[in-house]
Amino acid sequence: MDYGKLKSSVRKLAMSDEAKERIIRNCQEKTSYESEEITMNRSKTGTWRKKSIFAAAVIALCLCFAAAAAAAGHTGFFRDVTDWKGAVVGTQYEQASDEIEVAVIPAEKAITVCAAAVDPSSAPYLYLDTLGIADYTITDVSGNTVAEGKQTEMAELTDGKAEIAIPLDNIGNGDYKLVIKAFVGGSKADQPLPISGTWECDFSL
Amino acid sequence: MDNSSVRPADGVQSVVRLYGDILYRICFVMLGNQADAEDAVQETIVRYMQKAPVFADVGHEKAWLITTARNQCRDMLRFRLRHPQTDIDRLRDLPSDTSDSGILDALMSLPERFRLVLTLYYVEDYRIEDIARIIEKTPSAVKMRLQKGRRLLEEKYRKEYL
Repeated sequence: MDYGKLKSSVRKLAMSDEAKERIIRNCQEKTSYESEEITMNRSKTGTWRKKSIFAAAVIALCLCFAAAAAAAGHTGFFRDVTDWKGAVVGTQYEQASDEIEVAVIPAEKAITVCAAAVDPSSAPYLYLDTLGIADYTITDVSGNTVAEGKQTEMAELTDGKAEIAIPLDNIGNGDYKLVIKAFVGGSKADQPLPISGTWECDFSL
Repeated sequence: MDNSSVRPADGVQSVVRLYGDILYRICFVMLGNQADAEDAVQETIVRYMQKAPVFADVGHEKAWLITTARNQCRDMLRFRLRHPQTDIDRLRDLPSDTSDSGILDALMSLPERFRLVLTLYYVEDYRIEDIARIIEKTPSAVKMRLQKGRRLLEEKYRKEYL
């Protein structure tokens, strides 16, 4: 058996230059990628201070957003009213506190509540013909409730403004606070639309 | 493995130029086809770059590369056994310029444990003690493999190529 022939035969096995170049290229890419990864990992280690600063910045940013959202006020929205079976039986408009401005004009044995929509061209104010107060309380300086009511007479709504009268009986002179929990809007051939929110207004008699 | 000691990417070129062919020969003899041999060489070089071992001399470095290539080839062979896809005879694509491919064919038909030992001894001129270190066996085990490998190779070659 001639093992020199085996040697020469196996020695003829050689990688092509193209294959060598490809291996070099692949290995270089892989090792340089891993080096970058190591550098990134090193920069990650021992960075608790950076992390805590970043976390603080995120929290501060969130608080800023929350404050901005609060300052910007809320936008009202329509919600379906459902019965116990879940069937829709009506619609109400909620969170309208920032959409209606309220002022009180005192008079003898009554006050007139001037309600004005901030944007009369928007729903639901654009479509309403009348506006009334659906739920209100009047308290004195001590916080005692001196009057409350569930429904006033409906007043005509023109250009988003309405003057709603609340009769006051047996109330002496003094300082009072009117708190309105809900208005109710009316339009022809439609169900009354409750408009909920919170409006407060001080007045003196 | 501590990845923090990756060898610089510039060193790849010299390693491939210096040891590419010997690693390719060993991988080819073990795996039997060109594409797998090239993949094995590439993986070996990648491990060399990743592990960045410290060598006492050039011989030590070469032996480390051969051992790693051999382990890589064994992994690939094990993978082939678990995921059989194509007949090994069809994969075996000997280069066309090997005029004595009969003896190479005979070598390739031997079991892997004989192929590697015969190649290291007769082609790469390693001593039995060095082969024992590379394949992590005792010198007497290497001698036994050489003895049996020679006998099988001669039988095969005489039977089919003479």
